[in-house]
Amino acid sequence: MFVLVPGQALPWCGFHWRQSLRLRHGWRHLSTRQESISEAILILLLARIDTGAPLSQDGSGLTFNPVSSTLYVVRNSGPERIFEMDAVSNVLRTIGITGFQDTEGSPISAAILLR
Amino acid sequence: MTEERRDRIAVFEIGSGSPITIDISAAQVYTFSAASGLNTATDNFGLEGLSYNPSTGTFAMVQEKSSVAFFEFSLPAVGTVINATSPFNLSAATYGITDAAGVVHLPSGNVLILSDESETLLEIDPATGDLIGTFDLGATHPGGSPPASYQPEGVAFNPATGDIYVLSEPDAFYVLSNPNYVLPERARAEPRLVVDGRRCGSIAFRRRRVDRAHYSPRARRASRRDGRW
Repeated sequence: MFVLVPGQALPWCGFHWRQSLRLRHGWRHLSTRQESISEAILILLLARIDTGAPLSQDGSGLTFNPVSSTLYVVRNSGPERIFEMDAVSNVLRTIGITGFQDTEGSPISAAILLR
Repeated sequence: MTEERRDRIAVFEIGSGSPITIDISAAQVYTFSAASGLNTATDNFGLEGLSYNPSTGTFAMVQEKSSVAFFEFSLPAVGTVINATSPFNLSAATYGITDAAGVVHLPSGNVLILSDESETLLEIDPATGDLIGTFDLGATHPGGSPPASYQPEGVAFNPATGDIYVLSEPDAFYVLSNPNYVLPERARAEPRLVVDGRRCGSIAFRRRRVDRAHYSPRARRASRRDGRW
């Protein structure tokens, strides 16, 4: 069961909707606080169906870079690529990778720390 | 980054500028010891998700299938293999998922594990395997009906805002926000990166003031009345 809460459209993205969610009966809420809590409600801020054509339906990994507050999207074929994008899915740059095969999850923030 | 069909990970640096291309010859490539217990027999059921915990300097990784598994490891010296361990059994019977597609650490030390086929996020304490919470991604769609091919493949977390990002293979991107999010105190300590037992760098999380004005006050009041908050 879930409960939809009407909300107005967000002006800063394209195709989107917003809703508050009530989890299925008997399921517990996710806790992102220090203590486990039951009142957490996750709100869908953005559901954008086009992250930019470059993904070509092969998005396979995602990571957040806390230094730049951007996201890295990994594509696993056609060919493998990394896309840096902002939090509303605008692609900022494309990073080519060669010699890799079937690339998946990417904790790129760790690599940044090595610099 | 993982290479699923080669059962290995590659560590490399991304510089600034665009366009840029990185060749694998510029990366440090690590394979896993046999004792790590990875499924190396099936090409496409391998290493699907990888996350780094800056508080401990360790990595978490999930194996997609046959069997679904959770691993932890630290980076060893260059040229040596990784000895990964499974602190708990991420079995379908216990957690109700049929595959694992992504993993990310929360500031609390817990991990979010994403299941593609089950369209579910699990929050698990990796030290004990305790299931802290579940979230049905299928319910994020109007009317409760997800698209025919949701295929969530990647998950990321913004420790400053508490936002959860989900990448779906058919070019979809979702942002889930928890308006009650508070950055845990222990996550404010200086995190670190450790390679082969050596501290290599540090980073500080800073709480960012987030404008939540776009949340409808009426919706908040209604939710409180219903006891949902």
